[in-house]
Amino acid sequence: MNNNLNSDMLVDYLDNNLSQVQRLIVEDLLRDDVATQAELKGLMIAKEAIQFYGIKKQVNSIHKEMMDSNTNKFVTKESPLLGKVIKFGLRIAASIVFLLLSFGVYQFATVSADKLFSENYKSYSLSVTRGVSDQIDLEKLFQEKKYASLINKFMLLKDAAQLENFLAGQAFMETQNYSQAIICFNSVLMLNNNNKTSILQDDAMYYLALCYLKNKQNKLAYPIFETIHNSSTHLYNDKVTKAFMRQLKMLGWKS
Amino acid sequence: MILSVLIGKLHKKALSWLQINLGSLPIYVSLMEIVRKYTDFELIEVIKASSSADVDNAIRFMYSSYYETLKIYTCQHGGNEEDAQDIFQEVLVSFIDLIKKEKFRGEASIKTFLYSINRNIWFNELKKRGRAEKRDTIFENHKDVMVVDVSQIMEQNETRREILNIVDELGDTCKKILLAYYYDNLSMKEILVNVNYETEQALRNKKSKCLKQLEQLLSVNPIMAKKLKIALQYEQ
Repeated sequence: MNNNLNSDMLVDYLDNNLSQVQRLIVEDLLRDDVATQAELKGLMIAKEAIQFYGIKKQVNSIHKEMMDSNTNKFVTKESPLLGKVIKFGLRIAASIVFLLLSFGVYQFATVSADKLFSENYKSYSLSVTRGVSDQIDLEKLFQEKKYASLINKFMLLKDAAQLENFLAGQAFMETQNYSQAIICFNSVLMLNNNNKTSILQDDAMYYLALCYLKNKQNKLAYPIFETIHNSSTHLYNDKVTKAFMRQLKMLGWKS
Repeated sequence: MILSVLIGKLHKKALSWLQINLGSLPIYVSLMEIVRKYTDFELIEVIKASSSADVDNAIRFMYSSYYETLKIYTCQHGGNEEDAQDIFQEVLVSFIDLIKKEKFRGEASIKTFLYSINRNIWFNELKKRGRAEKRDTIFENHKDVMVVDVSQIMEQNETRREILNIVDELGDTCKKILLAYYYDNLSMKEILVNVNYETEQALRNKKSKCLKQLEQLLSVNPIMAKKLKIALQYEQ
């Protein structure tokens, strides 16, 4: 350090805190004195070093802030209120999705052919009696729930028409002989097809599909139920709902 | 209908109020979102002349706009996320320092410039780690994107790291006073509030002593002192 110069004065010179006169004194010395020049340079480097250090500290502080947050997307910020609303909405949505998924899993786990059958099967009821004597006998037996007698009488018939086949089918269902019921209902459909009629067509279709379902023949039951579901004029259309069809599909996946 | 018109009017009023009160800073606030964006020119001006808080926002903007891209670059060239974070910090420090010293010539966009710095810092890091094969691949593959000459910055990168270590040797009070005065540009009166000195003159003397102490630390090794001078002033 130059003896003629107060050390602090050089720092003040660097900080531009000197009066005009003092500045001139320092600059005079700087012109001639190499040691003073060197010291000033040293102080300037120290000042730049601290400024560089400051930048590093500032960047480091923001870096921590940015990395601590879950997202680096800071260009767009949601307002706190909006963020809360969105978070709340997302929670509700997540809860709904969770409930739907749980319901789906529960349905998949519990769905079975027997369950679907028992939920949809209802004993057939006859309201009108017809004119032919054999038919009257069968209808009477059916109404009196004498299914075994009905079946016996049906077996003795040589040419059974749609109604006899249908009533026999119902009697077989009541006695839980679904394979025989399937034959009877198929006969109704075949007779209608051959004669270009539609006697008990919708009823036979529905109960035939139910028999297939109960008999674990889902692949045969599904297309019949699908036809009923897609036909708005079908008598049993309101029974074969979307939910029912979904459960049938699940049953198919399970098997 | 009436309600939506009312909300629309309130929204417009709120926007205009915010634009008037926030001055020229390009901050657009709506009921849905707050967006802070800078053009290259604005970013440079903010870093060059603004207060520490404004520079904070500029740094946040650079993180949000460029970090992901540069992270992908580093990770695709043998680095991991931690490397990418370290390198990006060095990139920003170098960039801000260049702007403050008015050494950034603006020949390329900020994005391109940062990319070049990032690539070169990572290149040097690989060199340091002795992964020559990876380094050569990076260099060969990216010759065409060497649109910015950042070689000076990179050559002195190690020296600048050394500078940070030397400054760290200062006591906490010294660092606090020197940073407040030379980096945050606070007056002695403002600094006095945050430090344990009774008078401005006592504080001034302490600041002077601290600066000289740092100067001594930096000049202990003459060779290192010369390197530091070159590194800080971007001399060749």
